[in-house]
Amino acid sequence: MSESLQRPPPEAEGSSAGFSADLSAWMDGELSTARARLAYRGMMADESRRAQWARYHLIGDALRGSLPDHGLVDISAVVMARLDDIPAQATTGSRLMRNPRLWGLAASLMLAAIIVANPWQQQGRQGAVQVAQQESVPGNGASSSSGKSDVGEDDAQARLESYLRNHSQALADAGEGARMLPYLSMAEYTVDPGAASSP
Amino acid sequence: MLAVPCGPARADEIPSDWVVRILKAYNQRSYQGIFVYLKNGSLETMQVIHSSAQGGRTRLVSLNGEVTEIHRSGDQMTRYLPQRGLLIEGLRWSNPFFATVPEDVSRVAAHYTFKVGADDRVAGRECQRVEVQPRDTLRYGYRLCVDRETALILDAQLIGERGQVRQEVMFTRLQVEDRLDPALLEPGMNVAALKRHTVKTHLRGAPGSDARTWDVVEPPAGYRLVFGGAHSLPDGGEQEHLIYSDGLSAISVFIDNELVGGKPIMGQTSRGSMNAYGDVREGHQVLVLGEVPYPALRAMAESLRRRP
Repeated sequence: MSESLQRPPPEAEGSSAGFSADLSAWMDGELSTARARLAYRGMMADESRRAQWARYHLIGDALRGSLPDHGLVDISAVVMARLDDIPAQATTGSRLMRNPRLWGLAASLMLAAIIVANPWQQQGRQGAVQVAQQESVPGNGASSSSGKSDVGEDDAQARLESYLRNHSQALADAGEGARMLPYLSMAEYTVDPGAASSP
Repeated sequence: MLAVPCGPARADEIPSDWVVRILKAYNQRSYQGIFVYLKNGSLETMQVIHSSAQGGRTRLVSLNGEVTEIHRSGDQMTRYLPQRGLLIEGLRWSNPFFATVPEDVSRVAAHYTFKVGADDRVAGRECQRVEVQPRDTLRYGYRLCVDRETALILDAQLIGERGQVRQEVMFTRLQVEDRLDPALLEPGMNVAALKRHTVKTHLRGAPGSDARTWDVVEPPAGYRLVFGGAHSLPDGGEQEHLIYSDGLSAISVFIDNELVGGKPIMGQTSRGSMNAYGDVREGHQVLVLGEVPYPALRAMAESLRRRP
């Protein structure tokens, strides 16, 4: 016996709220297969609905601490996997991963652009902060050009972290708040265990 | 409620009283919610509980990764790391909930425009998109979604030079409270079992300090000196520290008073949304740092001179 279409309540048809309700029911296993396929077709045709889908799952994965390492999920693979009841997996070897330009497009479907950033990355190349060789330090009067050595990378990273801590600390004294992103600054305020001592 | 302004000419710009409301909203309401942000390419999730009473108290709880709680009361901050058995106190936090708005909103308006965007919904709440656009390339802009009921920022993106999102903080859930149970602001762990550590503060200085020996003689447009001080370094040396601000963005300029004896940090580098530029001036390590484009950092470094 074929499953009858559940006629959605009038206010849900074609509306964002309706799709949200369908999405929630779908993930709870309470949506008919026919309606699920309808929602899927609507999502494939509507970027805003794909964004809703991505947000729903990304937030859920974040709350469960189960984000894929690379932070990217192939949306269509997730959809098809859900329909087939196969656990979705991040496509780490996908086309998206190999072509960084596409990160911007994929990321637009997610909460924010993915920023690939390890602590203190030199601009224009991956890896450590460049630290100049001692002999390239100039005499009086002139600023030097950049050095090329990777020596002292750990020391440079530690010093940069120290500058960042002093920056945050002094902003407190200056009364200069993190205007638009205060919670981020609060959460990311770095603390050097070496700077702390038992009383 | 925030009402979209209407009228002739620059109807898409928001009035200054909106700006004031947005910037003060964080401390004027009590609320609890969940927000997400990016860190090193991964999504971090935190719970926030904020009470506007008693000068403002905030509790942040990490919901993924290492168990962490961060508590703020006034400008004092304490960090709890129960998995490491640590309690770190003595941290100071620049009050982001600023009881006093930037004294001159018009100064901010000279370098940024605040434009009304579309209606939107974030965390199930109706909000107004607002674009904070820099008037030049010496500062970053923001895309916000401002809660229409409370003027709280529900979504904030820091926008880079090429329009890319350098950082984002977004609420996924927010509940505004008339009164917040104080018990919700207490640490969710046995604090007595934690080893207490106190951060040593080596900073001396004050806003407008005149004891500095260096100056940025031509700071980028809109940036003015708001702090001058010095840090004592672990090796016994000193580091002079100047902060310049345009009202929304702040730039630190560090000058190590000891001559460079080892390997200086040179060139451009970044950590998340924070940029840094290293240089050597008259034999001293200089490091300029802020959530601003590199041209602004370089301009600071190149204009740095000893005071007569």
